Amino acid sequence: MTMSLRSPVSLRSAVTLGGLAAFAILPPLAELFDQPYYLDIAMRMMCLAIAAVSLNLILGFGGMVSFGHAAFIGIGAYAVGIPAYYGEYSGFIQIPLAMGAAGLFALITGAVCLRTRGVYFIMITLAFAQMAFFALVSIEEYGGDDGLIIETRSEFAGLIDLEQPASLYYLILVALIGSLYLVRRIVASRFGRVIRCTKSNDERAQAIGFDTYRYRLICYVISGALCGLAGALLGNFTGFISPDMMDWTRSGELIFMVVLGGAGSLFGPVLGAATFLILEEVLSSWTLHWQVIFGPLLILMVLYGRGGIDGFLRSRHA
Amino acid sequence: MPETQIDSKIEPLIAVRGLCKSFDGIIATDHLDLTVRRGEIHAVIGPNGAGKTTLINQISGILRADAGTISLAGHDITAMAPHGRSRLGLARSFQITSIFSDFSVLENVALCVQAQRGHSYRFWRPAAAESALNAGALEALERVGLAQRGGDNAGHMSHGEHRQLEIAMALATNPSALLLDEPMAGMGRQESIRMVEIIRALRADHGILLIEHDMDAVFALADRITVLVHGRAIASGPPDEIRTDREVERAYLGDAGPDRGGQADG
Repeated sequence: MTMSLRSPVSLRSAVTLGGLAAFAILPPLAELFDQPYYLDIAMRMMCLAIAAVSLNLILGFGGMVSFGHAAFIGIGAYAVGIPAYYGEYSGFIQIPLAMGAAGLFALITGAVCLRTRGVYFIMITLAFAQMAFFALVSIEEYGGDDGLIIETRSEFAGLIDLEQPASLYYLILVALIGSLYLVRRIVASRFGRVIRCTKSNDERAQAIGFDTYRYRLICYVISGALCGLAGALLGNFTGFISPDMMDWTRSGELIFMVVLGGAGSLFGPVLGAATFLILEEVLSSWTLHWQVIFGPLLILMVLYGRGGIDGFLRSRHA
Repeated sequence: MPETQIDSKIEPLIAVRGLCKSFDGIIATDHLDLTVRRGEIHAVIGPNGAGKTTLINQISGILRADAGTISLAGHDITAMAPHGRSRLGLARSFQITSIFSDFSVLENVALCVQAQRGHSYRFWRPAAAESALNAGALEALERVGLAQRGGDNAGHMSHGEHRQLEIAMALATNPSALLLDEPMAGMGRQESIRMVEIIRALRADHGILLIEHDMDAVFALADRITVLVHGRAIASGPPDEIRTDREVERAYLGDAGPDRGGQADG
């Protein structure tokens, strides 16, 4: 993938860098103006952005439209909540558990899902996510569909104190930047090249000599594990987890974020997640029936904004 | 008609024995025997729907044969997956241009080099910076005369250049056996002549199975020709023999019946 920037600072990189800088300086500003609410929105935004970045890895670069990605968010969140329920608060256990459990779920379900293509893939990923949803609803011990309250956030042996909002905030920001860097390296690597070519022309990729099923499965597992991290952070942020986190509408929202921002572009999902949440906030403050405006607006943006927001920014450079 | 046995002592590179394939009762391959030796171009010709592409699809592994065996350099590959056959030295080009159109020309070929050299479970190092991949890709591009176009977007090339890129991609996996499915399809006169030159230059190092409708190209290139009608080899031999074969003439004049196997050739 060659990225050519004709002008030294294009609109696209200005928006990207400006956005990341805005995220970085938000906590002191929020404190200065005594508006902790904005910090909350930004944290939710970044958690969902990590989930969208993980979905983009398989959807945008690998052409695998997973309609069950919210399941990984839920698994990640419960991997924080369930240990906490038993009094285990160490983040050094919770975070690897979240990523490991989500990755394992991706491995098992992906092994089946990736045998299919197109609409069948979409439906079967949805089906597995619904299974996970109902499994958690049925477990009374962890609150069933009432969910579980996480009273104590992950502890990191005194290194960082997540009870401080700013600490949690910066941990999430670092995780987001780390996810972006990870995806960027993967996509440009040999492995990523194979993934991108299976999206472009899978039959040809096999004729060349790639066992594309295995590559796609590994990519699916990486994506699931990364989304599990997003879930673990989201669970820490909200302090309350429930099966609703893995509802199928959540999976749909993640797809929207990726497509809205620009599938297959590195920063697209971040732009998509930010736009999605800002629109949601603004519209819902105007009217109770905000979804009546939100839905058609999203459809129009996806229909007419080819390449998403990122594609629009790219076409605007001098 | 049995195949002409010129030097039966030399083990053929590709050997197809008793191959059968049918789709919903329509016979696409009918007890076919066929060999390709090293350093030889074996052309398969026949009317549309004769089962030529179906044959290539079975040899390359996209389709599984109903009966019969296929071997590659002595290995039985009848039940092997396409990527396994590729690793044993088999490469094909596609009748309908099949490239990675959102990749650059060089990356298209580098991907093929990557498939052959080492593994692709490398997640960190940028592939575009690997000089071994790029050098191998450039070499393949040079053999088809596209070395200057490496940086261009593959989706933006002319039809003739796409066909050349197809060949370069097949070459990049360093194959011993090449299956070329109508490399001249849709080409103008000049482009065809150029392609004949490219393929002729490949004969020395490869065994080539060539499917082609352009008879000038076939008779200019082929060492042996097999004529396929409804999946059956009705004639096989050197070009001069085929040119004068009456049965072949009949098949091309349309006496061989309606074009029943139409779907098999797609």
